[in-house]
Amino acid sequence: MNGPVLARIPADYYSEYRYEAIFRAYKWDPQVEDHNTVADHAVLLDRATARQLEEWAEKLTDETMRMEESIKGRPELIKKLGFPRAVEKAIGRMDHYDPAKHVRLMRFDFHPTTEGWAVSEVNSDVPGGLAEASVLPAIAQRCFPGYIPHENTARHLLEAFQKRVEPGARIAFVHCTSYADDRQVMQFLGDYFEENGYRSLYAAPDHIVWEQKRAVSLIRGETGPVDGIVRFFPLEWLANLPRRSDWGGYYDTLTPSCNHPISVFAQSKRLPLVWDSLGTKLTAWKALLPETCAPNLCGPGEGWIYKPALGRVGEGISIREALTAKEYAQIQKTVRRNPKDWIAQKRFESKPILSADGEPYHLCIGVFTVDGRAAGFYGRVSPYPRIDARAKDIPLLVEEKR
Amino acid sequence: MDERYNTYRIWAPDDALWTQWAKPVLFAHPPQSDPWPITLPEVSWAPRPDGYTAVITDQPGASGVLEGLSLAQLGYRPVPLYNGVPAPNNQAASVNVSGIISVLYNGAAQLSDAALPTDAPPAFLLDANRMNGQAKQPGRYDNRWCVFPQDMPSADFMIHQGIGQVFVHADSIPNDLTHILRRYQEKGIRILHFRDYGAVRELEVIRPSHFKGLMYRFSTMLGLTQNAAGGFGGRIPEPTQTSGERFYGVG
Repeated sequence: MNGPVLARIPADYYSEYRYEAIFRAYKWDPQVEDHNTVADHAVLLDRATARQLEEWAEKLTDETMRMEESIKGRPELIKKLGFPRAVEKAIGRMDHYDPAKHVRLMRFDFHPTTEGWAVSEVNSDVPGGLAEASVLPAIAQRCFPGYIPHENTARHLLEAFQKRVEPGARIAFVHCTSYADDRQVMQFLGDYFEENGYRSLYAAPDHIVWEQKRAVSLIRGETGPVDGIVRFFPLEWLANLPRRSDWGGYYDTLTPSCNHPISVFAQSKRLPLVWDSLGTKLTAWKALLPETCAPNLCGPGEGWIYKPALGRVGEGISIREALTAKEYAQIQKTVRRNPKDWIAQKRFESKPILSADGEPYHLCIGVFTVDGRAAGFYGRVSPYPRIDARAKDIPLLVEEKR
Repeated sequence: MDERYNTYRIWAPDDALWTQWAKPVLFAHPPQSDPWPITLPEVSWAPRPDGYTAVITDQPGASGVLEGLSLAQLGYRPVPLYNGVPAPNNQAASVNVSGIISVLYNGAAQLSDAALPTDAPPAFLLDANRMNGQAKQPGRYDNRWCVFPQDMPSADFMIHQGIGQVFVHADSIPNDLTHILRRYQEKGIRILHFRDYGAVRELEVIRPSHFKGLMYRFSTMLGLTQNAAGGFGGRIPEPTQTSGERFYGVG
């Protein structure tokens, strides 16, 4: 196993590559403040490392799904996960959840560290990076003979729906309609599903209502039954919708959904705090996730970081060198005020990868799984050891079989 | 590549200084209507491009793009920051962006003819209608949007490029833009405000609530879910400002 290698996209092709990323990979947010978010490198991965990451992701998925089964009827444990009260209440509607009826999509974020690979989290609810994982490698491929795109995440998702929903049926892509960042993900999948025989419907969460637990569209000109749901609207935000929207219907719907709200448990960074009460074997999680505890039991201090229980895209993580002094102090204060909404986690030492010209980059490889099977790699790099909204998307190519 | 790629490339050439901020989203949705002739507005209010002044034009709908094309004739590089998505499949939408798309496409040839130098000073284009429109009607696609500090260059970048003054052409300064202008002002960039039928005035940008808050973007996103899902609404009314008066808007 050689591990990941950074290779530069030739300078005379990079401009074309970036334009293609914008339109073919739906990268509508190619710039965040002063940062270009389209990397001018690719990650080249040997086959053994790729397989290792996939095996870990599949094991982690299996363990996560067992935890979901185990925790769903145990309100005393659910209370410890830091959910808003409305979410806790809605969880009670999931008693008849059947995993076979819904599509389960997860993304596990792996980081090379000084002590080998570590997992920082699972994006259990609404993982992003689908277009980047599915399309960027195909655009970059021409620059790197001997390396090829690996799994196509969108194709895996399509196949998962094809097992549950007839061709020609209508799939609702549910998202925060005011955000181009979210629409780009939905538009990518919606276009892909349409090319493959489905009808795509772009909806806000309250465009969907429920009749006998089946989803129905309220959209003008597009009213009527919906046959499948792809949701890119976080569960904890649903709880902010007006009650009349009946957002709780997502929790007990019979309409095949990706993800079903069962995903909420693993989305909480506080889940490790109840691991030992679940009675399930968690070998992979315990080997790969850094030690995690309640903020009042460990941290703050060197070697520990705080993470919000329901944080996303690296927001709110207290990595000192990635924050201003004021931001760092703000996090410490918030943790002291609301410790039940946070966790403390032992910090791993991210091992930067050097580019050919000696620049260090911190790498995160998100490994998607769909229904338990590895389904693609989403690469991001950052000049500092935190992967957040300013990180660059990087294509990941795997060594070709000889 | 196709029409989308070629048009975006004219508005955002890879060798120009400010165009990496140009938002691609509306270019990804070519116009449905036939091209129509463009008449450019007069922009005598704008200062001559001196390398020291950047312009932000916050005008409703297509008029902002037309103004951008006029500013290009003067020597500014128009940078479209439109980040609201069009309604899919002809659904009813809160904000009509079809006029903006149409002028972005129809005006591309004119912009190309302007042959701007790569270091032309920027004129950032925003849609003053971005937070207007009806959102609460059931079944309507709510595509209202906000501009965030990360959608524009930082004050440090502006200063590094020699920008010491920002000239804002807008009827009023909405709350989202205040978060950006205040950052510029704190670093010493002068903010000038021009309203139609008024005089140019120097603006003292009032510190907005949640300013530089770690969770500003996050809380704004949460705030927008208070209305019809996905829409901005009046959850956190707070003063917006003009150079002459104060009134309430939404944040």
